[in-house]
Amino acid sequence: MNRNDRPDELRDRLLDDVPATPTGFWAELTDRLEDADTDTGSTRLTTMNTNETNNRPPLRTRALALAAGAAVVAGAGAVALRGGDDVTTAADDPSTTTVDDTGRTTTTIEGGTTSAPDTTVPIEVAEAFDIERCYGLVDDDSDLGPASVSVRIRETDAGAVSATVSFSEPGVELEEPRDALQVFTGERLAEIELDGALLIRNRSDWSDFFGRAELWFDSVDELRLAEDLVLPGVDCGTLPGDTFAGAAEVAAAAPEAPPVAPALAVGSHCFAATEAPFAGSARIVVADDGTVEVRRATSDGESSRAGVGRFVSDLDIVVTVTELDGFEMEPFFERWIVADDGSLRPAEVVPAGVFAPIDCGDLPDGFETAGRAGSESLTAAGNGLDDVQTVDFAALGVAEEGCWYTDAADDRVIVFVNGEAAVVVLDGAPVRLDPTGDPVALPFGVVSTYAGGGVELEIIAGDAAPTEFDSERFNGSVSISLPSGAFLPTNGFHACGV
Amino acid sequence: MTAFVELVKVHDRALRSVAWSVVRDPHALDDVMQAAYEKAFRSLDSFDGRSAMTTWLHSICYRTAIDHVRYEGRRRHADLDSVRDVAAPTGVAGPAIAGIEFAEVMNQLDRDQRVALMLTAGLGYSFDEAAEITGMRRGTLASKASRARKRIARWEHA
Repeated sequence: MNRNDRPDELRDRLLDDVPATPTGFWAELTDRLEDADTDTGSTRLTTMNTNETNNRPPLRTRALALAAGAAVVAGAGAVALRGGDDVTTAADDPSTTTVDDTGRTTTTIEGGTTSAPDTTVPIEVAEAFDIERCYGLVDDDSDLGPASVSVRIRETDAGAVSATVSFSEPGVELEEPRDALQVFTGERLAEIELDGALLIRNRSDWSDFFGRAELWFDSVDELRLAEDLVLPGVDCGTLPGDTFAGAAEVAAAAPEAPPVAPALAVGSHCFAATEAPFAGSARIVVADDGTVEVRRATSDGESSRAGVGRFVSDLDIVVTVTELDGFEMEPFFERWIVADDGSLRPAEVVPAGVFAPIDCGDLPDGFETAGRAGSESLTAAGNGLDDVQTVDFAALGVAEEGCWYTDAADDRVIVFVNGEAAVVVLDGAPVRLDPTGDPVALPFGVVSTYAGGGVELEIIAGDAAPTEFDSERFNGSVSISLPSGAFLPTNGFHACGV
Repeated sequence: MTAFVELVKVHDRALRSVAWSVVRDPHALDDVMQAAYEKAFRSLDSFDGRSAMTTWLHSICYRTAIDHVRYEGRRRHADLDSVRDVAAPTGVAGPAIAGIEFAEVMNQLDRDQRVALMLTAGLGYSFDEAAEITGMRRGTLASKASRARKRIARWEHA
């Protein structure tokens, strides 16, 4: 095999590696697009067709957590929709849903008519949502795992209910939050049932879906029960159209969120773990109001998260993760548990106490704990440390991230990032760093490995490591891994603010 | 619709290559591509022309593939870190590299590295364009591409 690395060859190799488009692909696509073409603008509401999966009875989820401290349903009679009522689901939507005396709904859209499925809950509306609010939901008991949905519900002038629904699952990004009407036409179906139940289904090709979320709130009591899991971070943004006049009044009447007595006191708490799969660090800053900021990094540098959450009980933290591996994410939720011994663990992980509390300590003068470290990984190897020194960090996008060093008690390792990298190994000598100064070459010859705090740094000297720094004789490797959102504890590495 | 199909036929190989960089599963690839093309078709009205049509299509294919991979990870009941890449060498040495095929080297790269390499080296996109497609920061993408190239170079000289 010719292994010349000419760009054209690399390009060819890359493209040749791609499986060819199979026979029948385009015919299948054409059929699919024809169906899509038919769907567009047609049935938007209802119709859980004949698919066997669709015909399953609604799965009533347990332990639904309804967010928003001001979640309130108006009192009886606020909006009463009964048989014969026509419900226009939104001012700009051409569809009309008619409720007959049996509770069956018929939706007419753009001249077509479709009947609601039998699984539709009979309509007898005694109460209706009367508020414009955001809700965050967590249902980690369903086969979906944690999921979140933000819902804006408001009463229209006509007494109908309209909703804006955004649905997300961990790791799944929606292109854009879509209002309920648009959701009907997309991959997921969301209905605001007239009795106040919220139903979210995936209505499209079920092979494209890994479960079914049906989140039901069919009573006011259930809504209120769920309020104890109030999740922040669901941003309604600006509502389109008219402002709902009753929102302020209803909000004022809302019950207070349940008091929280978090196990972690107000302040900063640091944790470190050394065992897979969660080796890394976490930092939790607890605010006066019980909200927490969580930053977590794993030592492999491949998965780090950051987000804001709050205690839902004294030991239970639910975090709205908004950043994953350095990228902003459609918010999703994670749950953390503070164990009795003060350790921290992700709720989904069986081994308890994988994150042991550590002392955050104080940073040296002139340094700040960076809220965010680098998001890059760098590996350099070869004969001669020059290989490392000449690495252009700027080109790798980490120059702005600052410098890292460790003040571990024994062998000291400094990685200085300032456009170029210098690696200096100290042998127990005090460290004095000037972030703007030149890299300092000091006696070399220490084999040092550190993996923690979200930073993985390994310096392996070759055989017969010199006692004096000698780049010519360096025969080892340097690996620096700086995951996004890394929190660097004092007894590990610090990121100095730049 | 016919015009749309003809359009994606023209760009299919390139679009497919981006999805392939993510999913690395020939069986899943076709499903991803079907879903991506349908998404694009449904979203034609939302294409605002601020980017090139091909850039827009690449972005949809990339995101659809990402969704698929994450969905598969969740379906396998992976732990919280399941979204990490399939085979991400973290050390200097990494997995054995001598005597393996190019496809295996690609599999050893992490997902973002493959995507960055494919977009820039395979399809000739600039870092800025590739960053627009993937949503990565330019520096991140450059880094990923650089590491991937180094990995390939090591294999070539192994």
